[in-house]
Amino acid sequence: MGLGQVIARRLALMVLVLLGVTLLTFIISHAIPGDPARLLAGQRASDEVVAQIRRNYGLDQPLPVQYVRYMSGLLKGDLGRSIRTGRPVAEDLARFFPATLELVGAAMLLAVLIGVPLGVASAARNNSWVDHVSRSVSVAGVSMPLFWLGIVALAFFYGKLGWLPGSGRLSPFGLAPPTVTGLYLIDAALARDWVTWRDALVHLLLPASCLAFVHVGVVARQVRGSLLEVLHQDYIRTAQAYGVPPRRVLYRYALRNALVPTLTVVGLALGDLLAGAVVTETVFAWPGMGSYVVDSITSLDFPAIMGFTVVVAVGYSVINLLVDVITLRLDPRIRAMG
Amino acid sequence: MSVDVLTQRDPDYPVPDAAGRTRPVRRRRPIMAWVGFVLVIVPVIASLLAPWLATHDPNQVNLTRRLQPPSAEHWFGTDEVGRDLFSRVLDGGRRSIGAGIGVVLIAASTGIVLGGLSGWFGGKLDLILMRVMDVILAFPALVLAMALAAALGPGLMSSVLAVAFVRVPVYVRLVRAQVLSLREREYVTAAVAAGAPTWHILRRHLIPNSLPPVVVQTTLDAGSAMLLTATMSFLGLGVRAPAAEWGAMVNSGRVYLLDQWWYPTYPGAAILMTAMGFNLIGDYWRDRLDPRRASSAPKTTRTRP
Repeated sequence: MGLGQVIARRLALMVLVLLGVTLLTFIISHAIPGDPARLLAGQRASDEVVAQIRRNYGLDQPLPVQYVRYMSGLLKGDLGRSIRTGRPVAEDLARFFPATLELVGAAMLLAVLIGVPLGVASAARNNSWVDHVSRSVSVAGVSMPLFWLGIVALAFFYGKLGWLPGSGRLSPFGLAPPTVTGLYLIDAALARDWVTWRDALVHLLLPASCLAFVHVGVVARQVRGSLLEVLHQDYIRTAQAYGVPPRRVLYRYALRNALVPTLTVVGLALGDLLAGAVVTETVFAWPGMGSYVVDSITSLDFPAIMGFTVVVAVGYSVINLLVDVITLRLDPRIRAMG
Repeated sequence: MSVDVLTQRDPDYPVPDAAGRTRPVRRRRPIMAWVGFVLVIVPVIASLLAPWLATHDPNQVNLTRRLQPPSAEHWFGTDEVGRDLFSRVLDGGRRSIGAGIGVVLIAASTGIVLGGLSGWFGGKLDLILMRVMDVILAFPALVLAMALAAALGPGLMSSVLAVAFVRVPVYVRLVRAQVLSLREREYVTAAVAAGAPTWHILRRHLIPNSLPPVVVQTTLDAGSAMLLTATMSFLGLGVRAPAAEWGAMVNSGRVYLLDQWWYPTYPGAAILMTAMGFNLIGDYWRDRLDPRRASSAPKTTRTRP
């Protein structure tokens, strides 16, 4: 099977899954206790107003009709209107998205930059102290309540030492750099505003590190595992027998192949990072989509909650498809197995 | 870094010596599994015995003793309305650990039934069930669980159900794969040939034999299920006040962390300890069940000749 065909098949499967995703969110948002029209109208609205809203939002139509409407809205990028802010949910999410992207991106970068070398070191020196450290970090990472880690880190680095700022993306009187990407680090660098850049960096450091900590171990264990597997293959022994320097064998011959399965793990970790961002943003008062959805939960703002859920699920599916495609390109063996 | 992996002693890849003999490498004793066992059993017993071990009534408000530091009277200090934190941590364990165990029990039993049916009958039922599982897995777990719990309404039970729902696909896939391989075994084909009814085959042959990996999975999951439900409580989607629960306690304590550090610290440490215990036990069992996946050689796709 050619690469094109494999990708076409994955795409078709993804469309099916995405249909299911929207159906599931539709079902959940219609299973909420109480009358959505009453929720939209507010507690003191008269029955006529509620009936009017019900007609306006099409809530008096049969469910299949409502689903089709919901779907056609989704395709046009219409996620409904937030009860809490009164603005379209899509607009709200777009406004908060860059902050979340910056946080998740930084955390991912940190997890890979620390996790991969740690994994290489613990495979190269299997069962040495490095290996034990990476194993402990991994167990601690998967067992760590992220919300608590954030709080304890805040208490220590902000409360006790005073080294890092406590919350938000910038200092209270800091001005956001002119918006190009919405990522403060990049925008500030583009504007050559190094004071703001530094401010954004120190604000990002603690939340991103906490979010990354949970994933460093996962990445390291995966790198170690696939590297060990590769290191026991014949071509490595051949290379060693030919006297290729060990460093070169490790980095040029083995690591390249070991990184392919790691990519899949990193892709899957993105979903957890997004979910982790919900928690991290709450703890660090980071103005992203996560804080937005938590505030929406507190005020039972269902259009906002469901909009966030759909967007995240769709984004997550697309990223995993991309990872699949990259993996297929990198490793022809997987392609052969279909 | 200089490496010569081939001379390393690795139990899964015995290296021949000069004479071509391989010497068995002694496996290390499961110290970490025992550590995990202790980390789990201490909070479990402490929570079960909470009514007898607690030094105070966990819900007894005492406004004259607000936010006290740890002392001989209040071992973990007191909270913002003067409730004894040690007693609340003990009492909260029943809900936090109970929620984690409840989640895996619900998810595993649902998964056994659905996975068993899916694997045995195959066909359309299998196709539809597996696509539904794909859909559930297309969401990041916490995000879907949050939406579900919000729709189900507040309360610990709805957050347990929501988390169980997102964990079901793992078990369905696991049991289905087991059943698919088991149904080709001779004793199963013999039972079919002898005319045994389907439910008998499922109940007597397929489900019992697919249980070991499920049990391992539940142990591995108990920790993360506990973390997820605690996270939901932290976000305000769990127990209702005044009931004590670890995630909710960390949430209400977080505003006091700068001056009353002990308030959010102890319940969070309890979550970390218990989750770590479950994970250590789970890792050990997984390695025991599948030596190829033992910690020194995780399973990856092997190249085919």
